[in-house]
Amino acid sequence: MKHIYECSILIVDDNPQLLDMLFSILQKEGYQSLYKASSCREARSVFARETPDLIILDVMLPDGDGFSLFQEFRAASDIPILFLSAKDQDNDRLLGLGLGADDYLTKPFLPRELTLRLAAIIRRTYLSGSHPQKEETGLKLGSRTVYFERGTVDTPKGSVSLTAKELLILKKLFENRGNIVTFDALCDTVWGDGYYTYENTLMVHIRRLREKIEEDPSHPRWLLTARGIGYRLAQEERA
Amino acid sequence: MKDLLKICRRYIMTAVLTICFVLGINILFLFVYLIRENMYKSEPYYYNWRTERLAESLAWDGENYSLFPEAAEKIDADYAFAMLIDPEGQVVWSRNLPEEIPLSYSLNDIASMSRWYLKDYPVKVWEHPRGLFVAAQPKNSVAKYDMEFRISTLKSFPSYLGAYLLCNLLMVFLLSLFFGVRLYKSLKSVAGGIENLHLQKPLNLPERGMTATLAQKLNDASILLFRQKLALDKRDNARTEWISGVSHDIRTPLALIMGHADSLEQNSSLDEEGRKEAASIRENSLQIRNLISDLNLTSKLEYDSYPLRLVSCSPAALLRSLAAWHMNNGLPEQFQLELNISPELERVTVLGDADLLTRAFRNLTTNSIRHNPKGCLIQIRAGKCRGMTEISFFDTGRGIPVAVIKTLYRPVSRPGVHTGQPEEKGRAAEGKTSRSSAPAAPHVMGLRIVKQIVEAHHGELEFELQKDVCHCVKIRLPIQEPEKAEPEKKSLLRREKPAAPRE
Repeated sequence: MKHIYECSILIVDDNPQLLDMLFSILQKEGYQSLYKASSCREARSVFARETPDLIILDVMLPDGDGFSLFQEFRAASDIPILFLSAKDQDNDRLLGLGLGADDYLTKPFLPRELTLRLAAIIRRTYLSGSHPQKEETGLKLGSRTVYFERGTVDTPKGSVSLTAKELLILKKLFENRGNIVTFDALCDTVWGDGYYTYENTLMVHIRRLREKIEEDPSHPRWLLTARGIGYRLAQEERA
Repeated sequence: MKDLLKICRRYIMTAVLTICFVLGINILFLFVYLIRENMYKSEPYYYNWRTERLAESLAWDGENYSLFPEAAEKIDADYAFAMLIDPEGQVVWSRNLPEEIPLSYSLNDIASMSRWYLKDYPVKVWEHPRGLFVAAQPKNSVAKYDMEFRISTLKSFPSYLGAYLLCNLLMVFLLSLFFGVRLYKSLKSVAGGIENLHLQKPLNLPERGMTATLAQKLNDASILLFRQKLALDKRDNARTEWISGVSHDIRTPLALIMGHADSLEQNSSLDEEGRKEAASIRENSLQIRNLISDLNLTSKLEYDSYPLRLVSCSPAALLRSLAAWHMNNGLPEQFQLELNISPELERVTVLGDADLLTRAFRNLTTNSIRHNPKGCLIQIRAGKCRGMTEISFFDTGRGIPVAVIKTLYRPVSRPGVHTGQPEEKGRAAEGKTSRSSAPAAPHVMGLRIVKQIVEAHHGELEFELQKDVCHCVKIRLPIQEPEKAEPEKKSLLRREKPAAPRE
């Protein structure tokens, strides 16, 4: 699979109107191979016939429940499955995710949210292995480029190595680029612990990281501080 | 059970004191009686003295006996008869002597008569210069008993009396103790029953002994309470399930509305007005979704059917996560968010449901944003206060009207609470129009959820009022003991961005 829209999707829901709407949303989004099923029986037959790459599954179906159907599908294949259900209880969500579902979205939902989540699942499942260009081309920060796989930063004066902790911090910030990542989330990622007692350590790591990725570490352009909250990696065009 | 022991102790004390009091009163009466008797003896007409006097009133003039008229009157009035026996045993003088009384007496007769009775007449004798003077009272008027005491016994009587009283007191105490213990045992099960009444489970106390009726009444009361609890639970569950069911049923049609509205909004063939209307449908549907979610949560919190997932969480981390969420989700530029966490709070954890606490905090900040379209400064301050974590949410906007706060503290079942009518009126009075098409309910419900979440965490919620408007809401949460917090420390970490933004 070269593109997410090549992914074939089976939509299972007992409400024909919702089924049509989902079909239409995904079609407009660009997905080519879409299949519909309004019952467990129908879903089984489409699954066997078409072998879809992803399933959007409702929990309450007229001839069975989606959780059991999920287990059947999972026994036959490892394809990603997203639950789309009106059951919003935490227990249901946890059951669905606990069974191994890739996501659990409750109705009513924003179409954009559904398509974004679908795209994320497809990328994670089918394109992550064939998409190494991020790391290969590197993260371009002005005149410097970060190579996550190698753990190095190419600067005009030469290549600088990143320590394991610096790499973890930068990866976490990169994953949430444009968004503030709290001190607590960073400490959890790097040390698996809370912010308390790591305040100075984190600051030191950030300072060293800035020395490596910033042109002027005293006036950072990329690794920005959200005072009292956390850090943010500024948005910019990647190489 | 402590109360029961107290009751029994008091019972024993009261019994002992009662006996002591009665005994004391008796001793007092005896004392008074003895004093009065002695005083009586000193009177001129005491019995013994009278016999002596009567004897003295009988005079011998060498030939005849004569009795003073005063004494004769006395004998006629109070005595059956009187006589004088000479040393030979012959009656030499008499007055009112019945026929049945012999006129001659042997020594034996005299000895027997002097102490007891003469033909059933109680008699008293007194020495006379010419023999023995005998005065007899009417039959059945006086009882005579022979009493003898050893002198040693009489001498040791005072000490015996002390020991006797002491023994009596001891006996009274032991008996009271015995009955007290019996009472304690019989009351114990009843007291246990009363203590267990609050559990609202049917009691099965043994209905026997002195507390049989009490136990029976308690058993009946417990069954009544249990039935009431079942009825209440049934009603509460029905209400929660109904809300849950309705919200579930609304979800699919709402998903269709939102989906189609979104599709219309992006439909380029539609004119701008149409797209705006579609956007309005989508936004309002989103609001209904949040309302349903709030309604579900508030009903579950109200009836304690929300399973709290309690873990050690750091309030500082939760607040940073909240601030980051606002920043990351595009805080409108007319708003300024300030987060001020005291360094001492960094090490503090509270035992709570992190999602619920975040929800409570977020409800307060989003309220500030929602109700101040022109923008304001939102300040969040956190620190320690009176041994608790105190988080203050302050804004420079219009604040929460006192009517809303009053609504919040009314019982849930009162009409108008869930509909948020008072708040709507309050806001409308201030000339607000931008939210006129949107339901006002989420705001009051939002605050109600905050209140319920804080209460579920055994915390305190305070609204600081300034001229009928509240600009500062304070939440205080109990701090978790450090040793309890340690094993769960890892779970306090939060994601920096919630997966599905609700508002």
